[in-house]
Amino acid sequence: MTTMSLATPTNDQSVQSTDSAYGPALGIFPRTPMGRFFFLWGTLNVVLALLPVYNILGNSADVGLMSMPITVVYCYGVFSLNCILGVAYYLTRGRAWVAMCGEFAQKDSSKGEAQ
Amino acid sequence: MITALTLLGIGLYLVLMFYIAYRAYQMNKHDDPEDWFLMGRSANTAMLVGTMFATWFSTFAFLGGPGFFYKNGVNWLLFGFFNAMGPILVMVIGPRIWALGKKFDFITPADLLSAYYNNSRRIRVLTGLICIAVLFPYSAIQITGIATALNSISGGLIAFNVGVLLIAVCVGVYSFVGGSRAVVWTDVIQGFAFAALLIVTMLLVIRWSGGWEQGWAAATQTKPEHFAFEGGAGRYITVMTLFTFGWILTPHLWQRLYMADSPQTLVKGAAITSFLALFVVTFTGAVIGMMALGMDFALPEGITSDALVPELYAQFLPAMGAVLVIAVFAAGMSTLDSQLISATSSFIQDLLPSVASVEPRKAMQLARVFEIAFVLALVAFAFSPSGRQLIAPLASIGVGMALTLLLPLLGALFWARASEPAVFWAMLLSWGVMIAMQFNLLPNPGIVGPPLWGLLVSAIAFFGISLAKDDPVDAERRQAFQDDMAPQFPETAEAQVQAAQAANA
Repeated sequence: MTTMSLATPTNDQSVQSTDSAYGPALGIFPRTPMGRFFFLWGTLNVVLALLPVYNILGNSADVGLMSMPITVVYCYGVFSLNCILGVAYYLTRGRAWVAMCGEFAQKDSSKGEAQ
Repeated sequence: MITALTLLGIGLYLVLMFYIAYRAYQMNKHDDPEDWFLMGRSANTAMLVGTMFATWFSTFAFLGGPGFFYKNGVNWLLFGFFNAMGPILVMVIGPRIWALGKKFDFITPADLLSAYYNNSRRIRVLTGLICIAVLFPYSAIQITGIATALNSISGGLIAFNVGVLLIAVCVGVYSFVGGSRAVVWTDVIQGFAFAALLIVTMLLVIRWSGGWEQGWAAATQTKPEHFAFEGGAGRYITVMTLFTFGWILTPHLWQRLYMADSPQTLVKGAAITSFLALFVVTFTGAVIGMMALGMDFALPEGITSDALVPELYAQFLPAMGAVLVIAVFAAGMSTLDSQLISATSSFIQDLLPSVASVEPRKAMQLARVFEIAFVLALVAFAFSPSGRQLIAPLASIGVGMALTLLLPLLGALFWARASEPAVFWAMLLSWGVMIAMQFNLLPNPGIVGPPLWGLLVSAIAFFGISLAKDDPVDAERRQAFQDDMAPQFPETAEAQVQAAQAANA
């Protein structure tokens, strides 16, 4: 079952200080330039994906690139930006996290040895 | 002849699945919930990709997706957006969920939420109930999807009700015997079999349509109105939001984040899944559903669009019926078994301890009883008129309810100000509003669908109550979940450095 032991706070959190200077604002908006860049990229993808829905861009049954209807080509082009965002995030953030997070993997291997 | 081949194929397939379940049974630690529900957190990259892929891309993707494209054309295209974006969110918030799960041995979503919010019993129970409620309609569509396909391909020989019973017994038995280890192993096989058949089906449909260019031309000429969005932006925004965020929040997907054997496995698996989800599942579904519009083909009277793929095979290549049924079995079972295990874990971890103190061995025995009860409830629901609704709307109801967990999760991971009362009321009110609107007990004001109204209520309660009263969770919990985690992640580590520099300046 879940095992949870908590250490005594080592900083000023014993008082009611909840204005974290490093966590995303309201738990949503990143504070670093790189974090904001990815956040804006994701938001831009959402906006681009909605343009044909509002009939602003890319909404047509005419045949376009690769002999496909323009709406389908446009939408899959935008959706692919999500995948590219994923690769960029993996290269700049994901791999860095893997390197920083070694202690958890060590915990896992020590568990295995104990068993 | 085809029916005999179909039954033989199903029989052989099930023998293989039961063999895998037996091998898993031999390896399982039967009284260890972590081993039973999360396969001991030992999924490697192939297993994680296979199980994420197979678990998410169920009969919904194989039957509901192409069927919806056939019925609604591009109006269902935003289905592709969340398939590509959902796995990206796994990379953004998944590592923290994984790390906390590893650190504190979390098994269910409620483990994490209740632990952060002052070990709140009411949050644990509410989260457990929501998780089971999310899983129920989603599990039901797997059963009905497979039974529909069986009925269609066999030309009515295998009645819908017989199909329902068949799949329920099969999944019940091998989940009962093999636990999550059997589920993940079979997911890998089922996921790749399912993906291969989707690609093959797409290629066949292109061929049956007269080729790539002619197929699109015929489809756009036959139904031009299906290739341009028809308005109703609120509906698209609802679908996009609920699936994009709901994907990672469905309990069986959330638990897959706990399962990874290493950080590398998790981020690499998410990146790969993003491509697979977009190009293998949604693109093939779009091509199948839309090109079928231009083919010399029509769904028989009284058959729903969910049966598009089986009907295409029945009319153009009946000999593939056996393979198709097996693939549909694979798609449905791979999701259903994960959901069954997940619902059971919520019962054992979150609900049972709230009503009785049960020793671990007894709890695991009760888990088996719950599994059987859950399957029986699914069968009863599948036999009802509600259970025979179209697959996609039922999936939307299930995933929509998972959105109630979004802000509580973000609060636990990132926002120290989030309070226990805020989270409890946000979850309760948003869930209530969502369900009431979904079942017409409350009028929908319009513009967007019930899931987004529920999310709005959740946001108002969560931020409103948290900001109105500075009543955060215990300091040691904030430290364990947020301060101690901050240096382990690039975003918060960099922000900490920035904050320190600003303070020094």
